[in-house]
Amino acid sequence: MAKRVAMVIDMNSCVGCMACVVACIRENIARQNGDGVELPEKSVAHSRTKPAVIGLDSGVPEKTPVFIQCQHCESAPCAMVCPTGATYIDENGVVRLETERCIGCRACIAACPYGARTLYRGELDGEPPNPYGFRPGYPDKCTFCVHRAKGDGSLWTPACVEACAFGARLFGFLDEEPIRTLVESGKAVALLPAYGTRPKVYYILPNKGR
Amino acid sequence: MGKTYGRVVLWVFSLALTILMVAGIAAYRVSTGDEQAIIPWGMMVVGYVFFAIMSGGVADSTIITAYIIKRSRSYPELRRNIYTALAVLVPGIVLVFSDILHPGRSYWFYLGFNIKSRIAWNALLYIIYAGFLAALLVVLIRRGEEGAEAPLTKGLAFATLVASVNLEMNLGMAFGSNIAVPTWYSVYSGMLFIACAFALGGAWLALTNRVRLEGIVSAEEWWREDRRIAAEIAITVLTVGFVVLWGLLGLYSWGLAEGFTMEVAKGDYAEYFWLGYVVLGFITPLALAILVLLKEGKGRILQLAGLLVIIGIAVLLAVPYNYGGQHYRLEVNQLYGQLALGLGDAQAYTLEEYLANPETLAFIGGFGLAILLDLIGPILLPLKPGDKPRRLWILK
Repeated sequence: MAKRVAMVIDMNSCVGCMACVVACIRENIARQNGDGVELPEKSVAHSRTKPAVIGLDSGVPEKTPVFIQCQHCESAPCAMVCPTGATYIDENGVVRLETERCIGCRACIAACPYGARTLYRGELDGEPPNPYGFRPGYPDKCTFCVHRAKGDGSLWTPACVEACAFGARLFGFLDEEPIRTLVESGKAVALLPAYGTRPKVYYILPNKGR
Repeated sequence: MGKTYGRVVLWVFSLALTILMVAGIAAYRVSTGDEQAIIPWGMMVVGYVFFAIMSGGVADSTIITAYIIKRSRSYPELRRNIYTALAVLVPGIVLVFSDILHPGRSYWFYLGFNIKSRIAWNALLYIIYAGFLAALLVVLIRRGEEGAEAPLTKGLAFATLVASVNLEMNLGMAFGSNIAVPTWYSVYSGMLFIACAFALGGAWLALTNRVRLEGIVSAEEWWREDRRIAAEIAITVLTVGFVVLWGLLGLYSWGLAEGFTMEVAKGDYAEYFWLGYVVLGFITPLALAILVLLKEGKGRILQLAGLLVIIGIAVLLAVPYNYGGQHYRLEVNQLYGQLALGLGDAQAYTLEEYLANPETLAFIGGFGLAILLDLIGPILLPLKPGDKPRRLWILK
């Protein structure tokens, strides 16, 4: 069985520069069209990692930056409700969408308690920037930039991780260091754990440094 | 003269509504707006669920009256009512294929069947229900009222009943397992949809019987017929009310959904719930149905009761249930509120945008298509007692 990948976002190190958002848009969303670049309207809302500020009753200072993105749940509600199996969990535990199977019922968007999947119904010229890039008319989501994987079981680096100058984003195998210790020690926590979705994106809350 | 004029008005009315439906669907299909970005299910989803359960309710009511209560007097209405159940199902199916964004790939419902997905089961149950319903209609047309007691007819009738109740329950469970916090509605949504189906079935029959059963039910039989439907409306409206109350109490006692019940009771969805459902869809039709039970010659009152049940349940399913469930998932996950506030970039579809949308036209227009098909049916098919098929096996 292939190893499961996971991401940790350290909110102590994040300065809110949004380099990850820009990198995601460049890598997955924006289309080169002649001399210009095609983007959906409200492109930040369609970025696969969306900036927000935390406001939960968690003792976290207000205005702490956080990111809404696919949490790559082990018990993914979106994969459960997808009638055609278009949304599925691959061998690395990445929740993915096979657009050829997607009928556009949008059940996955409604089922995601994190509000991580969005749909754009406008038009974009040109081809998606990668085979799993953003397509209008489909419930888009983060793929952990799986198109960068070499396919030999080795780890790859998602665009947002590569772009973060402050090392606030860690990507690795769930059962290996440094992710394992951060998760097992409770320093890195999942969002909305009461839902039982078992996300594989974790957050280190402020004042709980690595 | 009066009746002919009324018929013409009904034809024009249903045709106009059907055109409205087509316009709504066309506007939805070419829309490039962001409305569905994070609240993806609009009024067309409500519409296809609504027409499917109303069709199921018509079939349930007809089959239970004929074969479980064993009211053989209802045999002359059998094929007419079963045809009506099919006619009501059609706008539901039209709305399914109009709503999904890539209908050309619908075969994946079956090739990629996800056993865990309630929507996948819906795709199967729609076909099973429609298949049994159509087969029952063919047998009733071929064999006439004399064949109503035949084992094949009875078998098909019970199979249709089982398929219909399963579809109704599964449509509810699909909402339950899809919307928002996983499974927070599932506890009661299957039961709620079965109850709504029975209420809607009775309501549609109450609303349309005077036209549909003209020449089938004699003048002296009307009061008996009205009383049966009024009793059905009273019982089913009470049942829906009980299940709604039970469901809300259940949600209230579960921490994650407590706030949702507050929104229904006194928040954003309150006026729709109290005025739209409780007053229009529960108290008033219940009182009207009781009036019909007590006094002869209140056919018009029964029609009004039916209309109010349809409006009330439509409001219940459209606002607190469909919109409320999706919207509250963003409310409870305050990250999304913060995103919208911070960037002004991902505003959720508001309730006003959700209602003032081409999808609402498509839903309302669906009633026109159901009526239009119901008017066309008797022209093409031998649906009156004693009528025999003469052409192409089932045609007049």
